Amino acid sequence: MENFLTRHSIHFHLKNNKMRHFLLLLLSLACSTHPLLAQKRDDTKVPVKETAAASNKTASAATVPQNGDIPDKWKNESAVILDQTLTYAYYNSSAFFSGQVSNVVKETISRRIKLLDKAAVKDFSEFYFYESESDARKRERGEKKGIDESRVKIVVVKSTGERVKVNISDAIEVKDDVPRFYRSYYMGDKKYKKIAIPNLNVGDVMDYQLSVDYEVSLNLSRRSTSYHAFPAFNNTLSTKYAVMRQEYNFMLESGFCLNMNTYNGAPGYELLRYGYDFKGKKTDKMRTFQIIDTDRDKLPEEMMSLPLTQYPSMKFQVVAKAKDDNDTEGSIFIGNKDAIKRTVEPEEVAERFIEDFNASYRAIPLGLFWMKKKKIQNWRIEEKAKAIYGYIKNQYVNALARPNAMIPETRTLLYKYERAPYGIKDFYFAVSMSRCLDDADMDYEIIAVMPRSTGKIKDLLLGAEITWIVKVANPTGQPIYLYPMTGYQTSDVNADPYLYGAEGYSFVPSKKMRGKNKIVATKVNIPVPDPSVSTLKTKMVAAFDDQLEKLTMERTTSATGIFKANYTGYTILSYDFLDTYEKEYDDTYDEVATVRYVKREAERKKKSKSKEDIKEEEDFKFLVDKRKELMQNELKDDYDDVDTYDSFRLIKPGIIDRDSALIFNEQFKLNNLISKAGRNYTLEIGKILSKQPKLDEDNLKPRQMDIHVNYPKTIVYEVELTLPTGYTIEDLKDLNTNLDNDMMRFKVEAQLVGDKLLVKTTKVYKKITAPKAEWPKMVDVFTTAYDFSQKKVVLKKKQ
Amino acid sequence: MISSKTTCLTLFLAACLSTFAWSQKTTNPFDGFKNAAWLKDAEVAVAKTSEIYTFDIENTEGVLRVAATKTVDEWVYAAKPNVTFFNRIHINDEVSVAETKLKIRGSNRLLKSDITTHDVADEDIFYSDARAVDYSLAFSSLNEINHLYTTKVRDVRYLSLIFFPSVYPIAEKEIIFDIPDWLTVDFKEYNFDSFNITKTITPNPKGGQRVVFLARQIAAYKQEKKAPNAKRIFPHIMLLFKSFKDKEKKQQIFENVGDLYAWYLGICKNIGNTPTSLKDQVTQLTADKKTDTEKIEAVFYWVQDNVRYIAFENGIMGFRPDACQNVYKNLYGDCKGMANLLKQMLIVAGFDARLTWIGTNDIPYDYATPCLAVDNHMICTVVLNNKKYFLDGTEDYIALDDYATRIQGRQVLIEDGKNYLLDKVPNFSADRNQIVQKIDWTLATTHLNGTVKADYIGETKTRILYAYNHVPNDKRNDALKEFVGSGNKNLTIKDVQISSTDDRKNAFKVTANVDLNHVVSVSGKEMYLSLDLDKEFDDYSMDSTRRYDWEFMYTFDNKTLTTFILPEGYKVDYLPEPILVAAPFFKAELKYEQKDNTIIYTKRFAMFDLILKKKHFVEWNKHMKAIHAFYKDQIVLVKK
Repeated sequence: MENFLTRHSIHFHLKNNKMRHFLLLLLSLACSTHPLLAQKRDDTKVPVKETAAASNKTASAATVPQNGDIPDKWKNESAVILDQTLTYAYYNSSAFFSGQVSNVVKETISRRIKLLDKAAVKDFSEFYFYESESDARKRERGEKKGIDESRVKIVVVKSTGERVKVNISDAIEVKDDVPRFYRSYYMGDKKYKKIAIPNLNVGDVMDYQLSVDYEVSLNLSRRSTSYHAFPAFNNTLSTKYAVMRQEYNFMLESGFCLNMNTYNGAPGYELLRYGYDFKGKKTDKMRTFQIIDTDRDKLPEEMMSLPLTQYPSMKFQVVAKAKDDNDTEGSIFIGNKDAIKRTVEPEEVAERFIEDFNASYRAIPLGLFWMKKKKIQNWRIEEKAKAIYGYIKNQYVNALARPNAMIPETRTLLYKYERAPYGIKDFYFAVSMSRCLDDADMDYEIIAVMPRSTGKIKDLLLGAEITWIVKVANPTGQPIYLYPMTGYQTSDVNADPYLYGAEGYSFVPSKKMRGKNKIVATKVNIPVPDPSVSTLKTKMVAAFDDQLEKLTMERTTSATGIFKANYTGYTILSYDFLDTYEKEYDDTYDEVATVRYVKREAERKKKSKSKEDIKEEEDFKFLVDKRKELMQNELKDDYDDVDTYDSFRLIKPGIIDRDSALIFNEQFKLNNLISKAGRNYTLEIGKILSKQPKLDEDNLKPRQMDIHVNYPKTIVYEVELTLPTGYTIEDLKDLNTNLDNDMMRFKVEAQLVGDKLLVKTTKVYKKITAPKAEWPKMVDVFTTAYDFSQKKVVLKKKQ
Repeated sequence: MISSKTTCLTLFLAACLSTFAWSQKTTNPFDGFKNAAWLKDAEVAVAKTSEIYTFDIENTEGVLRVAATKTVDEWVYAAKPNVTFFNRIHINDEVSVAETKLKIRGSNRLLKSDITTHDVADEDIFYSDARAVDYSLAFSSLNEINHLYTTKVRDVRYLSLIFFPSVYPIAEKEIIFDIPDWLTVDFKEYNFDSFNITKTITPNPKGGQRVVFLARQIAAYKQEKKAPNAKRIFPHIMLLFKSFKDKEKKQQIFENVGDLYAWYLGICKNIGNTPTSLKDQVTQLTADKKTDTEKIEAVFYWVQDNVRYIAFENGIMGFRPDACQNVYKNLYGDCKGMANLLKQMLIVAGFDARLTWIGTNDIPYDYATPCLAVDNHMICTVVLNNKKYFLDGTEDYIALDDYATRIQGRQVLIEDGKNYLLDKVPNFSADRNQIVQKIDWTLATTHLNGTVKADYIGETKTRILYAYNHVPNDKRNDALKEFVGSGNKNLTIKDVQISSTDDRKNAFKVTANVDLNHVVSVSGKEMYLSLDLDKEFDDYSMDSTRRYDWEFMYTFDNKTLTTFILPEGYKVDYLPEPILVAAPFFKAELKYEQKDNTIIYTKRFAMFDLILKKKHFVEWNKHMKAIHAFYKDQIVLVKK
């Protein structure tokens, strides 16, 4: 279960940041470590080394290894990139009609990669490349035949130096998945072709150039479509393969807005006062931002690591605006046209919020009527904050989830059975909270947080990196942090673990401050909660069958904090609990009428069921069965040999603040946990509690990256096992363990009470970040926990 | 594979549903059918299907062919709420769709359904002409529809197999052949035994005969792990088109195997080989080789090591090998291209080498039934001193005169000028594929410490060598450890030594020092332990609800000898009872015994048949239960 939760918490994080990650694409220039740039923050000037078109600089030629030799340290790699140049050129189209403006991006990749083993030869023997949308359209219209060879050139360089050009005319359209390595940033997974590469051997170099263009139309008439933020890059410079030399070129015509920078010791950029027009002709009407990077190892595969926080990386995003004066929405930070934006200042973040707050004001729920009805004025601050959170949640989340909740489309209700129903965008959450807190005359701050997985707030550059949260002031106690809602969770839950311990900019946007000229924003740290906030407690009652072959288990699980957020989508069917929820938070809820309605409906159905009733029942049964199936599958994360999964029962959904743990009960049977030993038996007691991860050899080695645990947490497993009649356990001392260090704790308490064996394990992740030198402490705990999971006790036949 | 066409055709035919004969009937085809017990799990079911084949002679640019038209008419119903009817018709350059229709029951009103045509991805085939026509219809208020479609096969040579089952269960299915007087065709029936299928032949009022196969209660095709090929388990008809008469002149199709060979030869006539381009390579490979066998080996192994399998199966290229100079230059090809390259290289080297057609063990037919479904693969035969060597270029790390399971015992059609030869690839017994292990343990406080020596022979060797050589350099050691340790997480493996990965003739040998944790328990004066490293065949019972036989990848005879030196001061108190299973298809021996201060654990598992038949599941499960109990039992040592 622990594995499941860890896995899903990561999955959830990714999912939660799907848009964010999708939007993060290329890089940004102005490395903070660059001596010329470090002190500069003026967007309108570019104090960098500049090279004019006349100088005809060819930076790429200087250090390219032409002979294909690779350093000894990479001789055991599968393949090494000798050099690669990735160029992204952004053009303004002259087409301007019907309120439409077009922009074109041309993506050009040239790469030489040396294949060092058969695995690499196999990987590259089927080569994928993309076809521009414009070419594909021409082909569909019959205006073009064959493949444009000026866009695709593939050469195999033999170890003798012979260059063999690959004929691409036989390339065929790809219907199946395209390997990630070949995918264009801008083309996604469409319009690809593949070709079998002839005459390929170990030691050969694949030398290829690909180019593709991508067109975007802007519509001036609507705010949301009058600008286009091209997908952003936010990458480490290390990738799947080691790289001897790589070069990123971003060429821009005038009229674009650009966010760009490099981080963590990545090389800075150089501005070249020239570029190449769409037809490839050199021109001084374009600027090129260039990053040259050399001797880059591949990215190590280490658990609990966040490469973007530590490894040299880059951010890059281009925004096309249809007009100079039109505004953009809160999803991006945008500089002036033709300027490079390298940083985002704290005040700018606050201003962005206020601007969008004002623009969204009419859409924000008004809580006054509800507050008056609830008479919350005299409540304690904590109660007020939670009530307002619940009110907002009811306005957004339930309103979205309720319509047609149980009709056939419910098959998508649980996000294909993985997630809870809808959340709201963190920005709308923050502005809605802001308005209601204003209405309640409460003091609060808005914090723009950069999740730990993304980096430090000083490196903020892309709007998608920000998550908005709310901090409510509490003069009589701890301030209350309220995180974006993603379903039925309660106000104490934060679904994105990487917000804990993250940095952010805090400011006060309330009406008290709005009259002032400048909002002050300051850097803050989001507190890291105590490990008890996210607790998973599993209590099991176990007994053997008569043949001493199977173990009958009844397991009750209680989840709080992020554990609860992760389990919500699996365990809660919204239909069951809407009434409970509305009763608590919906000002229009009429309990008497609802009870009357429910009773009337039950009576009606008892007499005769309509087609719709039958359909609804079938759908509900479908979802209930699906939930059981889901949970049965999840049990495989805990046990290797599940005999039967007999029942799942949700005891408490944990959707009301007053009673916030999510609790469910399961019954199942397990095989293969007991072995004969002459007249006695050995019992795999460790495996009865749960699986524990075994570290692989890569993770036992000294680490290259610092440690980033997703969140502090406590995991408790308890079992009460009834011993089979006539048997006892003589020795338990080998089980009891307590390993406690700065990073983690693993404790086992075992005792025999009558014919019951009681074993309890507690595992605590105390810290979420630590230097890599601390890793051995975690290894100790993981190893001890794994060893315990393999422990056996002897069931001895009584004399 | 030699031809994707036959596969596609098979799928295409298997996907058929229908019935035209009932469309005008007054009785409701769904009556008395919907609640049948055998349909209780079905989401969509077919009440009746009629599939009618008619034949015409077509003249395409002076070439006469017999073309077939298939008309399908069927009554389909939703057996569960909120389900969707889906149909896929497999087409290619020889098979096309003429028409598809979905109608409301009892009405001529057509229902709309989006039709998409797309390539069919096959992970083994880089490019083929196989495509699929898909359409679907969500049952909403309607739950009964009439589904009709018509397809055309340009040449009946490509119409070899017709299957009864479909993706949906069918209550009643008629397959009707209207055979004109001018066409001679034989029918062969496969896997009819456990199905309710009848055949009737009546005169056709329009001339010729009407042959009707009527099947009832055909269960839907079910995806099951390790199921044998559909041709081995599903009821189907093989069509053997012998000849036809055009204006009283007889035209051969495939009257006998000679006709099939002649057709193949005709296709191969235009390969366009220029073997002179191979000469330097062949000379280089054979220059220092003393014997003919060594020369053949040099060529065979070079092709295995250097030519990658990438298959192109579009149009006639499904049957015609690519020219040898192309495969040599590209260093890739499919089985035909590799066979042709081998043939041409060996001819350049001075040997008698020939193209050879073969059906792999997926196929239950031989050349007594001459049609395009009889083979699916091509290899090269070398005749040396009156002995035939069968060279399969698609294999990796296989020695000369050794044969992969998939071609062992299979009949081959060998080219012999205008004539042909029929022969068989040798068949090997289970001991061709072995893992022979010797493990020596001693007790080191609470864990076992020792050495492992393993020999991998036959299929196990070729597979491990392929995997080892295709894992990235920096992952190879990990992969090897994983393989040797069978994924046992409590096993630590150190100092791994391996024999040459280029040695095809001898066993692949691995030795390593090992440490095994968490297998020893101590209680008072007693110590309990198990010496087994991988627990082969534990949890290998067959599901009683399984519908099809279980197919192993290869037969084998694996042996492990384990020793354990008794720790000082301990004696044996209890050893688990031995297990001996000696079924005709399977042998298992697991035995502990004490010799002096050593416990000797011998283990042998031998599978003599590739197929574990359903009729043996009960017996098999009884053995598996006993083996499981053996593994769950432990040695007991006691302090002296």
